[in-house]
Amino acid sequence: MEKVVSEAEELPKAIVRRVVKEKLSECSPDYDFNVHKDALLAFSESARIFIHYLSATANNICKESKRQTMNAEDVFKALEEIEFSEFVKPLGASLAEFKKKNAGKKVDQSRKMRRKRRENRGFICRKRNQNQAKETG
Amino acid sequence: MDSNKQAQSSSYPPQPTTFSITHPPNSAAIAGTPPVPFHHLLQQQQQQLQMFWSYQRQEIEQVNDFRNHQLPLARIKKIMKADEDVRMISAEAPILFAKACELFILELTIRSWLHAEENKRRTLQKNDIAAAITRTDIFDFLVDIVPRDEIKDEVGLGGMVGATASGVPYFYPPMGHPASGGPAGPGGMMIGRPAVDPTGAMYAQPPSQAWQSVWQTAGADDGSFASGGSGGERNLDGQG
Repeated sequence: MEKVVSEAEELPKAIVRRVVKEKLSECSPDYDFNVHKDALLAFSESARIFIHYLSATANNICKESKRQTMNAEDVFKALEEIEFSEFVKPLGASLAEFKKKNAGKKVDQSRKMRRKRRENRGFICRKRNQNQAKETG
Repeated sequence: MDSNKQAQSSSYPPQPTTFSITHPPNSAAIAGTPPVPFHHLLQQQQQQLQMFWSYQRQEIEQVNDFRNHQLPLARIKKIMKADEDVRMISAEAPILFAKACELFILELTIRSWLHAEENKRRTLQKNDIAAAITRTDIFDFLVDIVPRDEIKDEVGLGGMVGATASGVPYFYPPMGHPASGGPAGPGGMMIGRPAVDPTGAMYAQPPSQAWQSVWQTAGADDGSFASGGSGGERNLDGQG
């Protein structure tokens, strides 16, 4: 099967669909709302264009500050500029939560790894003893 | 022989009949075989299982909470990088974009839903999204996404849903050229909808039913679509 390289990366349809349907069931909890296939595509496309729009704006702000790397501050300023300032607060909260969870995760990961290694060592020792016992016994 | 068998069975915990052993009518008949140790073992196992599953559940919940970003960061990064001007992105940026995207989709969903509700529908259609885009100023950057023909009710065609496609190839008359490719009927009439692409290049698909119905009824309602009358306030920078 020939792999078609799409010109533009798209957002995963399943996730877009989930976001939309969850909101719809919130809007009308009494009855089921359906989403037409074309409408889903339109949602995906719109989101993609939004990323481009926000990205370009943030990039300009970044360049104006004579920096090379687009950072969080640039994105926040960009949101204000494109009149999506109501996003700033929830985004800030989301970022803070992500950082917190990520920090905790790192500690947990290393702890888990150490425990795993200990367990494996114990298991190997036990196995070795068993085998030895079998041979001598 | 019986007692031997019973003794044997008590050492095999995972049997389908284990539940009957918790109410041990049979083991009472076993002389000298105390049911308590086995009972303990079973309880222990059940406890361990419970602990195992509640831990698993916690793990899953944690992962879900974290993954509320949902949109894959790598994909978002790729989309951002499709713009050549965008060079380096900090690690936090895709996370912000993922959430912003989600919020954006929510906004668009709500507004599209409103339109669907107005038209007493329970299926969200593309024209609902188109309407949401048209109505909301901050969504102006999206005007190019949805073709004009999706915005049915803007032209006041409320009842024109379901006009049959006659199969006749209509062309969007460029502004200023009166119905160059159209049917003979509406002859010199101009469709005065602003933001119609003069080159017609944007509309790869053939005009939809909405436009055809406009042409078809235009003969009867001549002049009802006066040029520039509908939506004159619309932004003409559709191509910008």
